Amino acid sequence: MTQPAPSTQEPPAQEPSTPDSAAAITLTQLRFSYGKKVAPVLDIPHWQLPRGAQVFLKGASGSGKSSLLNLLAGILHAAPGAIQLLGQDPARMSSRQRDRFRARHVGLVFQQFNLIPYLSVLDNIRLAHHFAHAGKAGVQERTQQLFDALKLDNRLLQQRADRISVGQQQRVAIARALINGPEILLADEPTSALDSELRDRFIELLLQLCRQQGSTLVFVSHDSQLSHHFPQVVALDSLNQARQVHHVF
Amino acid sequence: MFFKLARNSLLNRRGTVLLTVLSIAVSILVLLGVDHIRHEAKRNFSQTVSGVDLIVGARTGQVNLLLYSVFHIGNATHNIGWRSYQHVASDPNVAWTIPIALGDSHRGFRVLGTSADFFRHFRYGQQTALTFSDGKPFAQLLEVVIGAQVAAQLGYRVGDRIVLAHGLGSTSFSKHDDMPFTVSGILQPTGTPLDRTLQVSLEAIEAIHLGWQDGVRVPGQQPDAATLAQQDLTPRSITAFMVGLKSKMATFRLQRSINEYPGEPLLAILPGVVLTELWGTLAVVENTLQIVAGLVLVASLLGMCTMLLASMQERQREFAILRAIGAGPGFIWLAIELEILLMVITGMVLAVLLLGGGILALQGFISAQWGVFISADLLHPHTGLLLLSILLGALLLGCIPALRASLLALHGKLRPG
Ligand SMILES: Nc1ncnc2c1ncn2[C@@H]1O[C@H](COP(=O)(O)OP(=O)(O)OP(=O)(O)O)[C@@H](O)[C@H]1O
Ligand SMILES: [Mg+2]
Repeated sequence: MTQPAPSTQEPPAQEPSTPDSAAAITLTQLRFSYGKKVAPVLDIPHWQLPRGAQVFLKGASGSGKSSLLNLLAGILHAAPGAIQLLGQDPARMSSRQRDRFRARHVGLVFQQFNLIPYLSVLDNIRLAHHFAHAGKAGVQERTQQLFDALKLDNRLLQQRADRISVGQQQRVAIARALINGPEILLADEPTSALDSELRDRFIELLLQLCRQQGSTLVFVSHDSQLSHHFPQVVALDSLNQARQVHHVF
Repeated sequence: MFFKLARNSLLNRRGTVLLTVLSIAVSILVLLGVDHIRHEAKRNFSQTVSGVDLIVGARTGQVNLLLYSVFHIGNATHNIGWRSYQHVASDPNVAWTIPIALGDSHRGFRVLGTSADFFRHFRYGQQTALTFSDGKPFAQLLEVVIGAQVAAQLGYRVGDRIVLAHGLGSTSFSKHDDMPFTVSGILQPTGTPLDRTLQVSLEAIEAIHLGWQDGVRVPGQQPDAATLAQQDLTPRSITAFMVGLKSKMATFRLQRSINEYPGEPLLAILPGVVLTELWGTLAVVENTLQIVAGLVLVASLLGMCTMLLASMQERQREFAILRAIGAGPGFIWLAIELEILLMVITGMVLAVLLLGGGILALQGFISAQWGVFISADLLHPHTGLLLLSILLGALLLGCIPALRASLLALHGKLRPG
């Protein structure tokens, strides 16, 4: 019951080949709305992000940042052809393949509440590893490395996830997101619960880790004060044509 | 990992979960309890007497006669005359009779006055004859045979001398202590009310009532052993008697002629028929109890679903996190079903332990009060099936919250923060 399906059952063509030439993220004619009768939230004609990019995507509240990240993570669904991640289209995967792809290649960090409160920190990280079906080996060492890089105390590992400070929780969330060495890291305002000093240190750590791992980072926030940390800053509104329709509100 | 997730999630909400598990446990306990007691009662009753063609007593309800003569539940309102008994016993179709005289007790156990034919002809269970674990039937006037439980509880052995009391109840004041009886034998356990009775001869019953009138000792009339020997101890009346026939063909004819006996109003019953009638009367109660028990269970399972649905709101984050790290909607479905499985199984184990423990604790009391021995062996072949269907029902009902959670997950409706 623990293993949804052995990976041998999947068509081999989908998963293993992630051509290095492909961009990390390519959006083409991405349109998305939360219902047929509702105005579209996103309408992005084209956007491409090369591998290893570190981009700060800013946008006002309600501009569709979280929606875009959920689409990129394959939690929300776009039309076929609209999204390419590492050269693959999540819309052309089965639901199970999509979940597996997310587990292996995409890390997600939310603004708060990233950890399952009733599991230990270590179990939270193990769980993420479990869904990637990457085998038992190496979790311990990798966790160790990530904890060192994030300046986290090893004693936190056995603590219940809701018994550690918010700043610690957010750093553990990064460790959790990076445990499977994802090519893409999506961070949805992960600093909003932190005070400004902590926030700056947090972002530097995040950027440094992503550089080390070669992960592509998409960091969304409404707070343009953070943008100076990032080599690349993009306003969602400049990509998103849907937004311009009801900009007046 | 999967199991740990479900377990810790439940432990995290232990307050509501505990109450839910308790309500499931109680309702399963009621359901199993009703089922078990029904089963045990039938087993007890149908095993208590076998091979008896007719039971005859004073005219009363058929079920009533069966209850007091065989199961020692309740009392006879009237006795029947010795002459009437003799009349029926001498019928050419009658193979044997067992007279029964009830009304005395010894430390809370009933005393059964009967004849030596009792040990020869009485059958219980699957035509099993009575056997002695020690000693032999009474042969002398002041000898008594005791049932297995009487021996065990009072610690009597063959050769012990005991005193019988007039009337019922363990605190009977009027003891026939001038005439101690000697234990001549101890019966093997039968699982019937006989285990809790003492058997003496009809003459002995007569003898201990000499010098008594209306349950009170008449002063200056205590007989001693010497006078006893000279007395005519032929009983004047008995409570009831069992009849074995030479040929079953004669059953109905004899029954009719007994029922029409001109000397006094008698009633003859076929124990099997009356037992069936008793089940028929009880079926309504039985079914009602089972329906109520079933409804209680459904209510508590619905309560569990409500609890899970209510927790869905606060658990959205949890599911959003699971989704984010690669859990599919199916996983979330299974996680909730696993929680249900854990709760229901815990409830079941709790119910079985409580019921088993309760029965063990009350066994003695129940058999003392009603002469019914309830075994603590709860697992009948159909119990497993019952528990399994409860489990399946719970999992099916659990689809409601599970479906809701996984649909939320599927449509990205989860709000992480
Ligand atoms: N589950 C949903 N169902 C329907 N509409 C939604 C849903 N989630 C978001 N929306 C709508 O989509 C739009 C964009 O929401 P989104 O959460 O992506 O914004 P955001 O940029 O992340 O905002 P914030 O900075 O406040 O987090 C909003 O108008 C919102 O009302
Ligand atoms: Mg948002």
